[in-house]
Amino acid sequence: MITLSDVAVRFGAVEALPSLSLEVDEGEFFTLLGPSGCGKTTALRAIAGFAGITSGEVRIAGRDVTRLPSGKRDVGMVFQNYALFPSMNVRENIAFGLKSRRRSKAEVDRLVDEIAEQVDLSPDQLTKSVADMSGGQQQRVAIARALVMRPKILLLDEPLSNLDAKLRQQLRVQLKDLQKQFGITTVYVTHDQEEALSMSDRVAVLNRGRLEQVGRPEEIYERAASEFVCTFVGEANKLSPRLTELIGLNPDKSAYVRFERVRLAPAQGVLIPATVTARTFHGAYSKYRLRSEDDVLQMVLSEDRLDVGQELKVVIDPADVLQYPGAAA
Amino acid sequence: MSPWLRTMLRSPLVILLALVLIWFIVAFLLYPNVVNLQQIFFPHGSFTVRAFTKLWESQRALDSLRNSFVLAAVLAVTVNAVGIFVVLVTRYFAVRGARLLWLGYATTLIYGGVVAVAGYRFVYGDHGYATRLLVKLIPGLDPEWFSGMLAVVVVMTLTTTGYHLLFLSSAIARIDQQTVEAARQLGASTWRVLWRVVLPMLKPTLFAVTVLTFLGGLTAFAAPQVLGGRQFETITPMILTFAGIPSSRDLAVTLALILGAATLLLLAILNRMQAGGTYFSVAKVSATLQRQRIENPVANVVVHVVAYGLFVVYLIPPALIVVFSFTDSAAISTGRLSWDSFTLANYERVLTHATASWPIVVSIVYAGVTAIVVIAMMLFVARFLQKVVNAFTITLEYLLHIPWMLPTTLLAIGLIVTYSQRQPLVGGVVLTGTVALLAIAYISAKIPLTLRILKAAYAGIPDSLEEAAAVLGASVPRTYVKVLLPLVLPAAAAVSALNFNSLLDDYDTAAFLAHPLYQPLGITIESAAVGSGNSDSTALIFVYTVVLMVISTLTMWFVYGRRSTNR
Repeated sequence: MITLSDVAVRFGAVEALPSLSLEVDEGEFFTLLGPSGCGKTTALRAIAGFAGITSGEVRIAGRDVTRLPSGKRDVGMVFQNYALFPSMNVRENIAFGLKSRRRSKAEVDRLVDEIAEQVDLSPDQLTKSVADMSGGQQQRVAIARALVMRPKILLLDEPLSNLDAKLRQQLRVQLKDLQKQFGITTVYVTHDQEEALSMSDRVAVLNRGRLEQVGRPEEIYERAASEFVCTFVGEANKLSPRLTELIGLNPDKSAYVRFERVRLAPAQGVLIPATVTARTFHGAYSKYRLRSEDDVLQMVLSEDRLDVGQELKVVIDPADVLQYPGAAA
Repeated sequence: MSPWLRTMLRSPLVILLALVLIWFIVAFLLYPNVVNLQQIFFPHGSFTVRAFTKLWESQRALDSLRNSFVLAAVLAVTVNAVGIFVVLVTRYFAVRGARLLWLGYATTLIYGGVVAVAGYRFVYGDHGYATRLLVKLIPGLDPEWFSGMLAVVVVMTLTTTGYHLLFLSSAIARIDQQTVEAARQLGASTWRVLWRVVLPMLKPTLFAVTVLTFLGGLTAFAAPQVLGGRQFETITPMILTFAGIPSSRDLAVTLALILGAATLLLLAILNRMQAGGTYFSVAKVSATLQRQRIENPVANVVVHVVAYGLFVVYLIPPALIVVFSFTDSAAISTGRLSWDSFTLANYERVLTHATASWPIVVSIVYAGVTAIVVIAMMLFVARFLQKVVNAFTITLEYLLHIPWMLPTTLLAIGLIVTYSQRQPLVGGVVLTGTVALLAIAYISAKIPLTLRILKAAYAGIPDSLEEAAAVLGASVPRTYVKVLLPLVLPAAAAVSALNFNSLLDDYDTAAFLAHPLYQPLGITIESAAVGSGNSDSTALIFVYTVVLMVISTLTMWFVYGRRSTNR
């Protein structure tokens, strides 16, 4: 549905995207994940038509849109700050695009009412000023404004980042439901790995403008293709050469093991003696900090079973260890 | 080239507007200054410094230069002393009746310039009510005691504290209460907190208002013209005098150039000082400043007495003018009031007699036309300059700020001299002596502030709004009209109101450029103030002053008050 071929974007001397190529399938929920400044928003804006592309090509549904203005690309976009027009009420905001395309008043009214119902905006909310709405409601208006145009593609630029944690979790589910309901190809930008893993069909991890890995969330988490992906997505212990060698792996490569893959004995794997040095409670699970000789390891347990100072043996299965070229710790 | 710029350059209207703008800059901002320089250095085609020699030989011109610099320096001290005091008692210390005091001190915001100068002369001048009272109390007192440098300094000190009320007040409001509490908790006294914590945080604002005050003193016009007399002549009135004598025009231009050079130097220093430093608060979460109690009871009483004393001094002239505007000529000439003295005849005369209302009509038309033309031009120009940043647009923006960098006098002299003969730049017509020249000067003078405010308003609109409109398929004009314009309209309305207001009582520009048959209020008021005090004309001036104060109050409410009540 979307094809980016060697897309490069420069801002003066700064190379925001050196050369990005990726494909997004029809109906897919595709997430661009990465830290601040990695180029994920630039990539999204290149699809929307806002980033001046230095070289490369953007195709939407097979059509080359590289030089097309944003309004002619058949995309809908939800901005990080929602970009609702403060001088218009909710109905006027949603109707803005339809009126720009000179649709009849009756059609505009019908489409606005339909989309408002689909995104759970009540008729009396439609007459409200956008400034009088909560963050969650504003987000629904922004989504309605984008979807009412029935675009081929929906672009979402960190739309949940301005909301509190609880609302963010609720809206993740609603957003995913809406995407399924409309069957619309969606490109979602976030720096929140939990959001990316829980919502996406596929995730692309970006670092310094370069694509590190594209894959299903499970692949990204379980088989991180690079050291960067391994450390950026999820939490992992970096093993020292001593521990790597003890487990029976090549100590010249950097080695990582996820916290939850450090298990209490007895279990399959190599036994490592350790002492509990700290514990932090996280509700559904507890996180433990362990010391084994000079090395530090962390593990998570769903039950609160260990005491600080307790001596124990933990197990690491070599099959759970992710290794990458480059010096170990 | 950005897609936005490409779209703009395809529009014939945009091209036409750009050409008009460039013509305006060249014809009215650049060329008159070139002519000024030519008048001084190349009066007969070859280079000469004769104008400076002539200036050096004129004792009167040198005295005026010295007086202006002395006045500016004295005002920098007196205005700061009074200005800081009035802001502290209304915004920082817990002083009883602070709101009432603020209203009294804020009279300078609706009652300034030539109107205030005339008002003080009516009260304290040789025929003034206060002077008559003082002469009775002190028989040996010279009735002309309120003249010369003393009168100019007193009036300008009291009428220039508006900068402090506007800028220093908002700077104090931005101070973080937690920094004051931290100092108190470390054992600092009220005065030590003020001296070591609060005032240092106000340094940039204080410096800015000091520079503005200094510039105001240097370019002072109405006050020295009306109150200074022969013993205290300053540069600007002297420029006006020399400009009226054909053989001394080069002297007028040279004095104006010196004024311009001093202004540019001071503005450069101000820019440099403002470039660095965070002074208000480095806290992520700051707390609103609370009013500080003056713990020493004696100091508390002294502050209250001085605050209310100043309140009375501020209030007497406008209050007397309002009262006497409703009295007959007998009461105005004698200063004695009785129930029978009160009448609406003065107002009736201004409202029903064409000759009496003429100066108001002229001022309103000039101010209105200027406000409309400037806002229409700058709504387009500010957007263009904000969206397109390159060497050409940066230069254009600097050129549009010329009226801010150079004193009114220099520009006025340039316009008079340049357009006193046929100029191809304006279609070969002579503009000097026409009603158009004053309008052009007003429009030029109001461009910088309007441009700054509108540019800031446009910059405050997130780019994402425009992008959202674009992605929804809206054209550039539709995005502008439906999305951007509604957001900048409040700022546009506010700056237009300020522009309109400030021109109603203008004297400084009108004194040079006004058409003899279309004289605005400022000129009429000044003529009456320096005249012998005919009670009929005085009554008219009182009514004009009240009308101006009412219009100014409405404007201030429109710009500042309405916003706070909407909140």
